This record gives sequence, structure tokens and C-alpha cells, in this order.
Amino acid sequence: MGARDTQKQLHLIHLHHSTFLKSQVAHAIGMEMYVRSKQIQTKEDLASFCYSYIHGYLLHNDAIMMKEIYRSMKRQDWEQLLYLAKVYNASKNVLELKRTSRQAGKRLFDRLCSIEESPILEEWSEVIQEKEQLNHYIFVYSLYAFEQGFDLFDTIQTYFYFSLTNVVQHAVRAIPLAPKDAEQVIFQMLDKIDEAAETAIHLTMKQMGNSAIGLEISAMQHKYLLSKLFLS
Amino acid sequence: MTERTIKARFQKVNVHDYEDEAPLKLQKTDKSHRVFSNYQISGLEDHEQSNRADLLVKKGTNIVVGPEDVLQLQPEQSHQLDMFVEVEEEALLIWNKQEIIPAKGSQYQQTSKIQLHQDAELIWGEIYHFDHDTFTSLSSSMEIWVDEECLVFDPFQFFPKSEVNHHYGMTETFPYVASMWYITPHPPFDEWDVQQRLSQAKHHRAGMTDLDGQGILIRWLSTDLSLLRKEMDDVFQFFDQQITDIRKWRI
Repeated sequence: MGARDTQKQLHLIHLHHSTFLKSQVAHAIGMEMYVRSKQIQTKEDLASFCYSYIHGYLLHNDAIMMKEIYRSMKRQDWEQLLYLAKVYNASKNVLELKRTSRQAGKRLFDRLCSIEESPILEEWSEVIQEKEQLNHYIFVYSLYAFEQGFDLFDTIQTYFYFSLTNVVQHAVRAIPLAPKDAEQVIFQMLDKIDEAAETAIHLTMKQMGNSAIGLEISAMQHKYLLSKLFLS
Repeated sequence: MTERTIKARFQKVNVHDYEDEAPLKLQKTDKSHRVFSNYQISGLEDHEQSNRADLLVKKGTNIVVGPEDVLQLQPEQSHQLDMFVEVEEEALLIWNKQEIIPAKGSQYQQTSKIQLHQDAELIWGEIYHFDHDTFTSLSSSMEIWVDEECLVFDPFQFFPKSEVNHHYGMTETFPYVASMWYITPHPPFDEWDVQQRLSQAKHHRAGMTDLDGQGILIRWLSTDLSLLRKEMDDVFQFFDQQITDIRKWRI
């Protein structure tokens, strides 16, 4: 890897820095129900949850969408991009997750546009016009990544990685777990992340699927808790 | 695989422009209701064919369509059902709790594309039975568009042999998955009215979410089919009551 590639890698990684709000944080609300019901109590349980989160949920939703966004942008097909945004918005069933994703999208959009000129984000803003509800995090992130010339595999892989570390950080406090257990879970999942990112490159819209019904129901139930550990 | 089609246009209490290819058949039932006309669809279990249903519900029409029986797939068969539904202004369509039971080696694929206009309403309920080890695949794709906006995009895919199924957050070891959508621009109830009808019994989970103020989705994972059916019926009866109170004045 040359110095230029390394710089690009750092640029991509910095997009996930804590100064940028991330939509993935919201998924802790689904995990919270599993922690409260004592189903997730050990690092093995947490690893099981993380595995399904990456391979069952993110791979067949967000990752496919990121790939399709790249594909549309290579053809400069803004109409298709708008269609993808409508579909992605509708695919987020749980309202709390949907709102968080939009909020994170808006924050990332505003921040990036305030830092530097981004023709692609400006065009995106015009395409969605007043439809703020379509401005999801994954779109802003992927469009910017495409514009910067980041490799699709790297873009998906880092998204998976930071989604995972977010969930694990929340789990450590909620279960609770020792920090070294959390590190072990993350190390254990690194191969799975690579595997999922590799798979994502070959998937298409036809393979989009929601099988994470348990996670979805947990996120729905979270709204009705009287006291909450995590807020979306 | 050849395709058999059933087409129907519902207007007020009757069906018009009706065409079917046997064994697909749509007929009015004896069940009376103050607001709805009740229809039953049969022949969906024909496994030699893929089936397509085109339903158009005209303005101001209130229709309930229910499958005659559970859709029991045959072993080693592939089955496909494609539904195209359009519901016009002020109309209401209820697709009443279809149950799909896969068999050993079977594959099932269902696509439902629904177009609603303005203040049209839709209630859609379905239950999928899982036997985690025997069937090959099951997929169901639900798309609901309200005018130009996509309100629901819910592609559900399940491969029993997939390693990920049993992990936390997925379908885990629950043998029944159910969904109910109620799409309406003005929900005639408070969400707590529905929430209190959802039990959280052991090995039975239910959740409800608002769909951007244009409806709700209720999702279940259960090990108890009778409880699941009872709960869905209970919610459905509640919707029926609320809808009847409003729509009885429009007739």
C-alpha cells in the first residue's frame, strides 16, 4: 500500500470518527431488549448477536444498498439513486431506527458540506429536494465515499467494522462485560467482517432481504420501555 | 413453469371484469358484514403452476379477500405467487391472514406489489410456518406504494440451512413468523390500543411500529400457533370495529 493509499484509508476511517454522528448507534436499542431479557449475558452471546447483525442484517440491507449507490453513480443515474433512496427509506421498518438514520444523514451531510465542496452531495441535495426523509446516513456516506474514490470493498468493510464496534461498546456497558471480552469479540469478528464485505460485492438488489426479525421486534418493543439504557 | 392468472375489479359490493384460469377462483362468501363484501380465493395451492393475481379495488369499495385455506406446499415443489393490487381513493382492501406452510424440499416465492391512491386503506396479514430443517427456501417481498412514495419495502428471505438463522436477532428457533400491516393516512386508534392486544408470553414475541404516520406494522415471532392466530384475530377485530364505525356512514 503506497502513501497515497494510506492517506485515502485514513480519510475513509476518519468519516467514522466520533465527531460525526453515526446511525449504527441506533441498533443498540434492539440489543438492549436481549440484554434486559438476559439472553445476551456473555461474550459468546454477544458474538452471536454481532454475527447476525453483520451477516443477517447489514450485509443484506445496508451493504447491498451501498453497492447499488456506487453502481448508480458510475452511470450517473440519479433517477435510479432516487428510487434506491425511496426503497431504502421504506425498508427501515422501525420508526426509531429510521429517524436516527435520517438524523445522522443530515448531520453528516451538513458537516461534510461545511468542510469542503462536494458537487455530488450538492447534486444529491437537489435530487431529493424537500424530501428530507430520504437523506439517510448510508446515502450521504456512500456518495461522499464514491466521490473521494474510495474502494467499494473498503467503504463497506469500514462501515461494518465501525457498526460492530459501536454495538460492542454499548454492550460492554449494558451487560456488563470486561473490556478484554469486548476486544475478544471484535477480534473474533474481524474475519467475519472481511467475509461479509467480500460477499457484499457480489450481491444485488434481488438478494436484499430482511431476516433479522428478532432484532426488528426488539427495536419495536424498545419504544415502550419505561426506562431505557440507550436512546435512538 | 407456466403462469395462471386471476383478475378481478371490485366495485361497490360486486366483482367485475372477472377472469380466471382454473383452479384459481374468486367467489363471494355468505358472510355478511355491515361495511365489507367478503370474497374467498381458492386454487392458490396448485403447485404445478406459478400463480398471478391482479386485483383492482375501485373508489369507495370495501372488500375482504381471504384465501380458502392455508397454503400447504407439496414436497419438492417450487411455488410462486405474484400479486398486483391497486386500491383507489377511499377504498379499503383487507387481505385476511394468509398462512403458508412449506413442505420438505419445497421452495416458495411470493411478491406483493400494492399501489394505494391518496386515502385508500389496506390491511394485510400473513403467517409463515417454518420447519427449520426440511424446506429449501422461502421468500416474500412486500412493496406498498402510496402514490409516488414507497411506504413499505419488506423483502423477507429465509433459507433453513443458513447458519445465521439461529443467532440472536434473527428468526432464531421460532417456527412461526407473522406480519400485519394497516396502512391508512388517519389511523382511527391510539397505538396503545393495539399495543395492549399484543402479549409477551414465553416464547412469543410481538412488536409494533408506526410507519411514518401512514400506518402501522405489527410483527410476531412465535412458538404457539394458536396464540398467534388468536392475537392476530383480536387485533383484526379491533381494526374491523374501528373501521366499521367510520365507514358505516359512507355507505
